[in-house]
Amino acid sequence: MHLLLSGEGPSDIGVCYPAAEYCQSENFKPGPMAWLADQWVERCQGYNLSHLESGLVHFVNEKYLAKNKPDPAKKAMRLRGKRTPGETAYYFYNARALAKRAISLAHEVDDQVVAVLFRDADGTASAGRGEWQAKYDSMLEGFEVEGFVYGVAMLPQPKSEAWLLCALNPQSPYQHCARLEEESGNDKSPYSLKSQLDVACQGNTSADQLAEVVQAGGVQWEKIDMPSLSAFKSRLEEVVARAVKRKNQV
Amino acid sequence: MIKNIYIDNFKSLMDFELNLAAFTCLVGLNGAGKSTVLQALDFISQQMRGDIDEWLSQRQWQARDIGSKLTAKKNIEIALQLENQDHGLIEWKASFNRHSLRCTREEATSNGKLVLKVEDGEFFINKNVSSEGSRSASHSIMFDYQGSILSQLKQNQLGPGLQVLKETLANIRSLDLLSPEHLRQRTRDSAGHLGLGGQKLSAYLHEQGSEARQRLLAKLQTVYPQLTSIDTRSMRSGWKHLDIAEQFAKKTLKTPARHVNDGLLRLLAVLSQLESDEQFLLFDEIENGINPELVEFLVDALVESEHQVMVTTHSPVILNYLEDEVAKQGVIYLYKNASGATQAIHLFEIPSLAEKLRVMGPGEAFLDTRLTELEDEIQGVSQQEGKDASATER
Repeated sequence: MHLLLSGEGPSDIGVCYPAAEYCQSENFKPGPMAWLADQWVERCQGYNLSHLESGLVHFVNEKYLAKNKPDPAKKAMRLRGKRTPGETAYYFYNARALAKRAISLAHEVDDQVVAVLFRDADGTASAGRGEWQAKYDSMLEGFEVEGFVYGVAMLPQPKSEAWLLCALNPQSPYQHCARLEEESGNDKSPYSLKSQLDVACQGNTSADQLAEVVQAGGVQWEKIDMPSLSAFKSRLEEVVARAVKRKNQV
Repeated sequence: MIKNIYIDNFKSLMDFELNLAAFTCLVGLNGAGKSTVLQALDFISQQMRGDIDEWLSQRQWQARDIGSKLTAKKNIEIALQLENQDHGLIEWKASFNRHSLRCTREEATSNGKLVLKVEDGEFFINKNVSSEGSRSASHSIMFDYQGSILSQLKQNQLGPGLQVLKETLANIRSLDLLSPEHLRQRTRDSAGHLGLGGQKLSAYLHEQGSEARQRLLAKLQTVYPQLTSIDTRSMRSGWKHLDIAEQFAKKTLKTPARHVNDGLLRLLAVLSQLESDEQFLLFDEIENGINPELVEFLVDALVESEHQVMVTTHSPVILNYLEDEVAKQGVIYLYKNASGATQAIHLFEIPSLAEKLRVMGPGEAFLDTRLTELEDEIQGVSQQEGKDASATER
């Protein structure tokens, strides 16, 4: 099984080093969320095998997905309506583009590919608008439209700092974390999650530092009880089980 | 091409500035001020034609209707810039008095040199901008007029810059009240252009001559293949009558304008204007009556037109047929601020919309966005820009 990851930048999933739109194995510099995905996959499969450390990881960045968006098919618009809430199309199209890449990658490596798409629920493309559930559903719908069954949405509410803060907050780690999901995702707000995380980690919050903390097992993901993280964990469990089952059948 | 307009104290337009592209498309919620912007451009155009009374009566307005309810200011201030291939940058500023219906102050420059000034009942024009010495002395204004003084002066009295200014503005043509009922009316003569509502279509097409009608027919046949002719005839009484003919199986069916479908009539009106000598065409709610299959044809015709074009729309389908670059430069989002004044921003300069446009069409990005909540983001962006600017100054 291979992992295909995509995110927004170095402080979540990671980047290619040297800079590129796509890369694999040692050219991929994982961020904290890549380690989360890797650790949870390890837990789901039930044996120790880090995909990140075994060269079984592939990465595409935002730019790659934008360039490889599904056919323009301008007439086939995704229309907002009763069944399609607003502020979801961005998540839908990114999931479709990643699914397409995952399907072709599966042919190239002749193995199952599990794809994880990271987006902040309150990132640039929504600026505080829209509901988390609708965005999450539209990512899964994007995978499904392309006929891809191994797609996982990693959609922290409002952003990944909330998950990390839950674990790294020194006063009461892993306690009452669901309330963090109600905070603003705007980094410019006075008590932004970013600045709270900065205080909690005494300023050691560069992408590298956070990645190191997570890689070293500094976050016990199973102890975090936050709806947006739980959705990711259970979907990943389901997808990994499906991929393993399929592999065993082949 | 008109690059930029500024207007202050016209209905909901307070201290309002708008940069224009070759194709500009205004979007926004109902009541945001889209039609007001078209009316403002038509108002500016009328300054060069004079007769503001006639303009008001066409719209069934009173002079008091055009000022803003948001301020006690009396005058409407206008400023604009236009760029001409042969004559460079031309700027015009005017202050329109709502009682005298006249621009009591005016100033025009051509490539930075003053070519017209109206102030305190006097005016001067400088015909030869290349020579500072030939500036004419000021003249007292001894006559009554409405709008700009340029509306009263013959073209040969004006230097090239002022000629271009007058001609460009006078040739702004607004069809902001286009309606099938008006398009269907039989008319006697059009005086060379359609009315605000598309009145005088039959006379206009008649006066354009058969060659122009053939060109229109050829264009329309690409989307209405059954269409075989667009005919006009002059009745003995002087009325002009418009018929279209369509071929079904082996039968030709002639339909008088009164019974032609709305969409075809609207397309006929729009395309005939794109063929006209007007320079800047304005259409309100361009999608009305046009079925989605024809939208691509219509949008391409508008974008590729040699004229400058401004439309308003609520239709994401119209937007989705714009190329990304055209959408980035030409789609303007209008909204009202807390005090009720209309504001404008390039839709795809708003960060969330710019991000969405990377992965989807302009219409999808527009439709996917909750416009009622968009203002919070726009305000956040402008506050941040303000902070950044003051940080740079420091």
